[in-house]
Amino acid sequence: MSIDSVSLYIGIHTLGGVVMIFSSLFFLVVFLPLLLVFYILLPNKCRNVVLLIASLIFYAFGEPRYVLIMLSSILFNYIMGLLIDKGKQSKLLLVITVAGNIGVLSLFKYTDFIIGNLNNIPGVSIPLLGLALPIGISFYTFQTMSYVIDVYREKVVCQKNIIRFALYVTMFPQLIAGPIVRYADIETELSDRSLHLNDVHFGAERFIVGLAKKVLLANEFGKIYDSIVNAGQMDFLSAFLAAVAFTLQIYFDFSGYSDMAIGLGRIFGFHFMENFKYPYEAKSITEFWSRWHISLSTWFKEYVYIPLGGNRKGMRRQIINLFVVWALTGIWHGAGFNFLLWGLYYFLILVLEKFVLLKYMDKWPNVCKHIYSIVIFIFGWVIFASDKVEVFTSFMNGFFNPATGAVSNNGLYMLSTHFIIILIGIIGSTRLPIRLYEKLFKIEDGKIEEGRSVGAVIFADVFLILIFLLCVATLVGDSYNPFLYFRF
Amino acid sequence: MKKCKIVFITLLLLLMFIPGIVLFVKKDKTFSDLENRTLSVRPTPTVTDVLSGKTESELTDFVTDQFIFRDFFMKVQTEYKKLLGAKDVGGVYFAKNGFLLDKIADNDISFDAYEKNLLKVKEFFEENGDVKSSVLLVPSPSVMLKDYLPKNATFYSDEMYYKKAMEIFGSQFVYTKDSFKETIDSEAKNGEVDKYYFKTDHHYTTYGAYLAYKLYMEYMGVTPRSIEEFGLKDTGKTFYGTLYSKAADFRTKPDEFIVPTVNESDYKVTGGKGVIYDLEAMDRKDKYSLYFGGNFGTIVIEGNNNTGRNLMIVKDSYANSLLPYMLKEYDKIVVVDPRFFTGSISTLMSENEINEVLFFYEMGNFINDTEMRRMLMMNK
Repeated sequence: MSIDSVSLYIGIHTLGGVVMIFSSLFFLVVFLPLLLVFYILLPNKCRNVVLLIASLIFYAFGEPRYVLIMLSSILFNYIMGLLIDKGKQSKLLLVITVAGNIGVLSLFKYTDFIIGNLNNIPGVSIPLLGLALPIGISFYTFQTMSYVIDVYREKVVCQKNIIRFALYVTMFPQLIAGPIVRYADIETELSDRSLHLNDVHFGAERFIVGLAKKVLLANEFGKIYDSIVNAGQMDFLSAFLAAVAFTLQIYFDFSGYSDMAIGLGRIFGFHFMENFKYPYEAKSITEFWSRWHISLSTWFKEYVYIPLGGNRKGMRRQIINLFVVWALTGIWHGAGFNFLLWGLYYFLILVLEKFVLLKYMDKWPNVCKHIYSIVIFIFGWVIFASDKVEVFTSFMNGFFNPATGAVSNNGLYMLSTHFIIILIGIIGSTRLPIRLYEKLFKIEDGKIEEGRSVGAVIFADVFLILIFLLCVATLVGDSYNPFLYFRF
Repeated sequence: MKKCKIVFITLLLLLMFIPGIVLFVKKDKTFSDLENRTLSVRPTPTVTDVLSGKTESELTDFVTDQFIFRDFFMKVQTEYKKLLGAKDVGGVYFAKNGFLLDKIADNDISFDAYEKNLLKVKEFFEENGDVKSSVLLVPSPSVMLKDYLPKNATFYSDEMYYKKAMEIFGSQFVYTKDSFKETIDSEAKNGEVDKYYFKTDHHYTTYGAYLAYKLYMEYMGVTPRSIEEFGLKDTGKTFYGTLYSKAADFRTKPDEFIVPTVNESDYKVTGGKGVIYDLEAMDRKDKYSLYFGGNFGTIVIEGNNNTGRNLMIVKDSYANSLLPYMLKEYDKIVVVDPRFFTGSISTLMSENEINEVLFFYEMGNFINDTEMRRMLMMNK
């Protein structure tokens, strides 16, 4: 897996192009400041247009052609929303809309995967489409679907203003890596919001926290993981370190991206839902999934699991429903057997917990609950990370085959040179740092936003400015790839 | 409260805005001395380039390459990583005594490719059976300075590489590792162990080059001249080498640069810059390019030594600092660097009446080489 694991998590495969990500210097020193100036200086009624144009530029950067797909998707869902709202044949129209959305998503995301596997059958040889996956398509498809379904269910009023609707779909903070914002959540803010000092301040703080998670932590863990996995067969220590590194990488990468999205949204006056709530503190896997990528699990619950009947139609039906949801969750992450397997792995564990384990777990001491959960989700990430069978076998041999040895030099070297950052990562993935901050400045639990003293704000802001500079230094330093550029 | 929030936002905006404005106002720097590479400059967008994503990609590179205080930020990053316990940055180990050493693991290199290189050279030797031919592979700095590597640091298993070469070439292989090791170990007692390799560059020093010269002469049955005869002198210039470029920090000290004295007027140099020492290099960052001004396809050095020996040396940059020691031993030396050579070496050999051939590489470079193999394949 490459350093930018978000790209894998959401299946970005650009054909040699670049993607504008928040953690790039271009975004930080050119795109964002320019946008902020326009946004702040122009009157409120122009702000939706400014944000829409900025979002389109953001999306078009690097792969302009795919803007057309997104624009068609916007137009299609906008019109279908209006038609469904009229109430004639609305069920049929909804089916067409959902099928259309899923159809486009599948065409880009799964067709080549299916063809590739069909080609493994002797005698079958279908040419691949070779389509690059449009960035963010998994996210915006789910967003537009939430809109039309909710219009059909009359949970939201259909949006007649196309600028607002287009802005909902394209809004760059959450466009390429979520959270998956339901239309209902920001319906009113699309038409009625204003610029507040508190929002900008809190949003900026949140953005830097996310940036640091991505640049200072996730990228480092990515390097540890790559460096161990690329070194060949792993011994036990190396396999363990690689699994821990990946576990930390995926959390900081993805939650960092969500933090940046939430922070940016907040600057512009939007309140996006929280996407991560310290998932690695969970005491069961059921709890883990109520804290990990919340916007995705909520989406599946609301638009797949409950419509299928949820738990209301008996245990057998419930298990089938869970199976469907988790298989879909798996392949939503990408077209690959590792993702499918990963989804089904969680299906099994969640069913097991729901019907058997949770009753007994009640009596376990907390330590056991934590250890149990940690082992399960780390192993889950090993499946997730194994984009090739060889990676998985290397992990399994490292863990379970005594012939690979307990510790190798490389394992010891990686441990001794990285234990500080791993420790920071482990602590950073819990509530501990924020608790400490709250205690230090006597902030009431959960009142981090409004209950801070001036001293607490200054402390945080000075710290965050320094962190921001360190992020810039790291981005400048990392941009230099000696193996690509060196001339002798 | 309101005031400190405004201060924070303004400060942050300035921190983002100033580098952005500077980018587009200041004149682009085209070459980085620190990193020893050309930098990306401001792209000129065209419609096709924007649509294909080329401009965007160039713009991204431009912003990072031309970033304000780029060198400073890079050093900050190295120091920060060291603070967190890193023992290598940018593919370079921070070894003992201030040495920077290339990080090459077994997985980074291909034994098969190495064997192919050896076999191709062997084939070439067989085709030119009447010419005295040999291969000398200078041991990699990290192999010689293994004790200096950080604890548990991995490094490629050089032993099997040497074994393979001896197996294929037999007496045509000039084995240098043990002699290098012995010399370095014996000097360890005198505290002079550090003088054979640069601390910040991937090359050996002139002392290392002398060792290679001495070993090759002994192998050829010629008595080597003593090091005193070459009048080693300090150029008075210090420099940061290629390894420092990969892992620049605030603390590493630059290398001294000592070279043998050469009387230019005794030799006729054809090709390259027409000189043995390119004094302009002393003002460049890459001081090692004092030798011949860098690497060139062919350089022919003629001197009036009446030895009856004409050498062709196929080489990497390690040979550049060796050659000043070799000048008096030959009537003619033809220097071929396959990376920049496009002709036929067989023609070159007959034109220059070559009666001695030496393939001279640093081990790591030889393993990774593809250009020499290409040249030998084209030669047929």
